[in-house]
Amino acid sequence: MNSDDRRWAERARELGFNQLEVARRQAEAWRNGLTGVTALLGTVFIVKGRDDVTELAWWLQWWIAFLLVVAFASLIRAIFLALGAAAGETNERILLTGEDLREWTEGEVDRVGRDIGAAKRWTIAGMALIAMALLTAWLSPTAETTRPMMRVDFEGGVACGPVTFERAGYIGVTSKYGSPVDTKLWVPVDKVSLLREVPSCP
Amino acid sequence: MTQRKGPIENHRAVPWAPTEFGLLETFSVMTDPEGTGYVVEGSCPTCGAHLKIDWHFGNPGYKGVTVSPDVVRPKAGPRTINCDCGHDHAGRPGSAYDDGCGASWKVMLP
Ligand SMILES: [Zn+2]
Ligand SMILES: [Zn+2]
Repeated sequence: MNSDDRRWAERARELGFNQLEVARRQAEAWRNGLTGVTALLGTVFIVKGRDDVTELAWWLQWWIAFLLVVAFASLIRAIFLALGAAAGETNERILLTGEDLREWTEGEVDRVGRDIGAAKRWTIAGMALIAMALLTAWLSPTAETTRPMMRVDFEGGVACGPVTFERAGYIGVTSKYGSPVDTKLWVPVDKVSLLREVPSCP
Repeated sequence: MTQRKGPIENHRAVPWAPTEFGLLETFSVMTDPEGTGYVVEGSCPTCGAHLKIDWHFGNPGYKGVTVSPDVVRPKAGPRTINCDCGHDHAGRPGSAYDDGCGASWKVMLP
């Protein structure tokens, strides 16, 4: 017989008497942790306000939204792993004998180590995704919505949108601008009967 | 937890000593009627106190807040019991958690 067995048996018995205190301690740890989660999410939203995103092309906006959603998911996963490691899982029940407690403790030590490692990796992934979203927002050319909208009447009909003159003899009109189905139409200059700025296109 | 059964037992007031026994067959190990643990019963090999021990399930780290706990089924095998007879055994150190004669032994959990 190992004299450690005696100590483990004592610990297990002690634990039986202290169940309420430990419950309170754990509830407290989880409460503090979850308060932290809320604070963190708030911070991320402030960092990435919507102002500088709304001027980007639609697909960039969606890309940034996607990056942020995955980033949040990663960070939340990281936080829950870390909380579980720090506060202990709340729903485990073992037979309170020295041997069962010892076996559980050994498994738990391994689990805490693994979960902290995983929490680190998820945090790094989440931060990287947020950085990527920020960089996308900063480095992307803003959409050309700031260019004036022009209504172009020509022989074949009417087009409306921002115009370009990059092809000699043609006016380029991007209709349905800013939507996934925008189309650029090249109208020969000599067919244009009217060209005027409008506040918005239909 | 331990209950003492005064009338039946034949308690010996031996001095406290940390004595370790192996597996004792003289103890009975039964699942308790509600299925929430085990009841172990027998006499201390050193002081002769009759001991009845309830082994129940609990949260090992912390007791949690969830309604449906994950109960870890205990494996069959030896489990340690320390004497907790509640009698005064001369020389018991204040640091000893268990209130007994210092004997420690094992029973087989089915
Ligand atoms: Zn005794
Ligand atoms: Zn004893």
